[in-house]
Amino acid sequence: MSADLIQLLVGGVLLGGIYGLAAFGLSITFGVLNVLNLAHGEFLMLGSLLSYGLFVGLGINPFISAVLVIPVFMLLGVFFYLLLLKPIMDKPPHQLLVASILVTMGASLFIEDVTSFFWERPVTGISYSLPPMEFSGVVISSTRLLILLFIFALACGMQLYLKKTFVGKSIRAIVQGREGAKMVGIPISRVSALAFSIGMALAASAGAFYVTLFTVTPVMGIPLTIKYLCVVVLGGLGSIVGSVFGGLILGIAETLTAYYWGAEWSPTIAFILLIIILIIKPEGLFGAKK
Amino acid sequence: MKMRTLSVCLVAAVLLAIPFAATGAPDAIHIGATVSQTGHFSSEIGPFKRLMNAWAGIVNEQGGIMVKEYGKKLPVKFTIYDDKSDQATVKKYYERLATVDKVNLMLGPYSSPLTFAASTAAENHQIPFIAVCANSPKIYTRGFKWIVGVIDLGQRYTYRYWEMIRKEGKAKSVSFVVEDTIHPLGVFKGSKALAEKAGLKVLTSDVVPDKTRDFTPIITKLKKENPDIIYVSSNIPFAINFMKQAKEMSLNPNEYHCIHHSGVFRDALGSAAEDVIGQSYWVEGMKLGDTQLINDVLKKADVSEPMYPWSPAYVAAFQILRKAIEDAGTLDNKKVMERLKQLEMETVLGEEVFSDTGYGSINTYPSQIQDGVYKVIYPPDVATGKHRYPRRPFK
Amino acid sequence: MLEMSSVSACYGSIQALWNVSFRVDEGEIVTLLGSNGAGKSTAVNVAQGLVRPMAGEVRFRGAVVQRLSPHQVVERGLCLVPEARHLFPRMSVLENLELGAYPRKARVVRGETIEWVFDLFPNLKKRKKQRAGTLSGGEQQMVAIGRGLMAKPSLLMLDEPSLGLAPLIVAELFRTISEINHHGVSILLVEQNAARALNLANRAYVMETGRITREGSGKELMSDASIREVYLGM
Repeated sequence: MSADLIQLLVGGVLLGGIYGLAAFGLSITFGVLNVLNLAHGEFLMLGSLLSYGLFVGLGINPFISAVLVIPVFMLLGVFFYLLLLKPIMDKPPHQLLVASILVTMGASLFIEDVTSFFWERPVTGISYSLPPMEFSGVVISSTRLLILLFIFALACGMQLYLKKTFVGKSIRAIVQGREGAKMVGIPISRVSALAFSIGMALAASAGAFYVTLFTVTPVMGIPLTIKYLCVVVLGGLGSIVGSVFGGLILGIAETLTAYYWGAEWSPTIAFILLIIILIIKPEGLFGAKK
Repeated sequence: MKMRTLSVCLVAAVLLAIPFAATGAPDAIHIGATVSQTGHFSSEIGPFKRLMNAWAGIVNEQGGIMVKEYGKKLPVKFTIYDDKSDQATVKKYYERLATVDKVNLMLGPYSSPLTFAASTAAENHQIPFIAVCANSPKIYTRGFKWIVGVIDLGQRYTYRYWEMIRKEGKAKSVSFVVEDTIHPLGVFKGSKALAEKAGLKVLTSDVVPDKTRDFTPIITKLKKENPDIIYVSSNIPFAINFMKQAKEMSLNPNEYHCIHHSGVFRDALGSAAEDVIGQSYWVEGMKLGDTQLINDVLKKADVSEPMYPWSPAYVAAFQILRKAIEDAGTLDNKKVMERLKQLEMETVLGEEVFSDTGYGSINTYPSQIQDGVYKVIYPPDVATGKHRYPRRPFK
Repeated sequence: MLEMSSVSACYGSIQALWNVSFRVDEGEIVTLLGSNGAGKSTAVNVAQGLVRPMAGEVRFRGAVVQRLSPHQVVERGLCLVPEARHLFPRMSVLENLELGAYPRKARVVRGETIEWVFDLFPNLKKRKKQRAGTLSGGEQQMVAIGRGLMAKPSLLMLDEPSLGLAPLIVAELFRTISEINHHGVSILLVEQNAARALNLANRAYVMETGRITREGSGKELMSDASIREVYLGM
């Protein structure tokens, strides 16, 4: 294999890791609440801004910020849920989907407007960087590698939480049988709020990393949410493992496409992949047949 | 007795008539503009409302601008709206400036697309329009009669840089990375031709969608090609992302040129911005023009030039509009426009003269970030620093 | 213990219950008979808090419960084993049972309760690590009932537990229901299998098109000619 191809695959995996982290928060939200949260990208953006603020203001390393933002955004997530989602949660599935799209879209626009208003300089980036590693001509970005490792650790952590703890299992119970969960005494509203806030906290955590690699603007949320939706559907709704793999696949596909065909094709490849997967296996790579 | 009463009455009448004669004058010279206070252009000119009002304050302290027709100085007044970096909003506000606020003169918004949209209102309502931050040739090919622009066309945006490269004779090859939007594309096309004329080999040219975030594939390719100069023609966010990843992947050509490399770029990149060359209209310490005016306006407005490199261009625009009004001696639109077109003056950025179709003659200088400070490196008679080539590799 | 008074409720947009009243007393087994669409499932859904009635009152142990959310009703000791079972298919038998004990007081004694459930259903003990979705119909029903018991209810409602099960299994099932009752759990049994239900129950109600039409002890209704004809096919 040529050194180029290896470099590209490495690049693709590292890029995919970032996609995966942001996507699995979305996966949980959709799986547990049947809600399409279009404000997901906004939480990522807010996480980025907080990380930026902590770095510039207090010199806090973004990897630490990624952990610090979690409790902050879990709290915010609960408020968001109580304010916007709880009122519509009792609607039948079709109506719920539409209502959730409208409500969360409205919330996105609101958050973007308010942030734009207070944030005078929308192009934000952190000058934090680590020296890269080189192995026989292949350069690996240390920052991205660390992020990838962190994501795997977080994904494993989440899997353990969901599989082994009682609360984690009750989240899965709601995904697997909402009616049954009601009858068994699981307080759907409370657990849903928890699941939602976890999803949002993961998005914000991804944002804390995102700002070390890319610039951040108040209006970046919506295009990102759409991309992460692709990743989630690709990997299978409700599957955490699926969204991580979905992210990796998308990262590799985009990188290879950009190199061999040209950068203009990268955005398209996401949609092409999506269509292919939906034709072959509609529930996504790791999704369960409903 | 009667004669005396009559004379007193006549004198009184004449005295009373005088103020009425002078009441033909408006209370101010009304200038209209929009500023991108929000939206993606706000990183370039967000606080420029302050800039305009600061200049107005300085001028009004001395009474204002002399308008011979009214035999006195009139103060300057700005009406400024937030165009939100959006074309539809820009159109709306320039219409409003023309029809509701009825301004005497207009300054253009940031960027060629917005200027393109805004200038139509000026043309339709026959109001003199001075474009500032716009240099796309398309603006000037419509046969408009009511527009002039402070700066030269996009193709020649970096001509001085290529002159310098040619003279030095050290660099042999160049690769372009281009953001697929109007201004960077225009600059790229011009620069490609200029690079070839300067004797360089163009190895690769990648035109990339503006929303691209990940540059791994392109950087991989550039590592293989290994050009002397990597020329990034783009707006700032794109350039920041590219440079960050170039550092991550240890891409070390002899020179980086990022056409826009203002303070936002420098701060976001830290040490990765060192030795990067870009374009500036003016830097502190340059032996060019009335630096005092620039300093005064920037200080009063609390705007920093490295963070907002378009600020001197606005100061030049202020000088231009002032001279045009003074020369015309009136606020009559037609006369002011005539004077604008025939203008030849030394501004804070150098000599300004307008072409037949309206674009100006002011152009940028190559400036290099050295130890965090912007130094103009060519031509020697205005330079504030020496060109460092090759650059220091990323550490 | 459970008292429905003049309850009217809708299933979707159709009215399913018209002025329905019945009760279950402590220690009893009461059965609710009726053909498909009679409204029996709606009635137990209202009791569990899954459907809000338009009119009427539901009391459990004296307290009004029709406005509570399902998990609050479970906490008070009223539990429903639904017709469709609604198990958690990708979780093991053991996990399904454990999740049944969500309310705090049930969680504390979880270990004991699981032992009891495995006593009642020895087959489940053998399959405790198996995914619930891969079990047979009969085994799934056992898990559903076991899961209902995990919440330590004082009244267990069973909606058509014999549906789709082989006769031998049904016999076993009814024996188990009786045993559960002997342990002190009152039972409300919704059934189409009238013969077995009437045999087991202390009292019974008959529902037709959303209304209670007959009420009486198990034996009374068993010997009633019209009931025998319609529901027992005799």
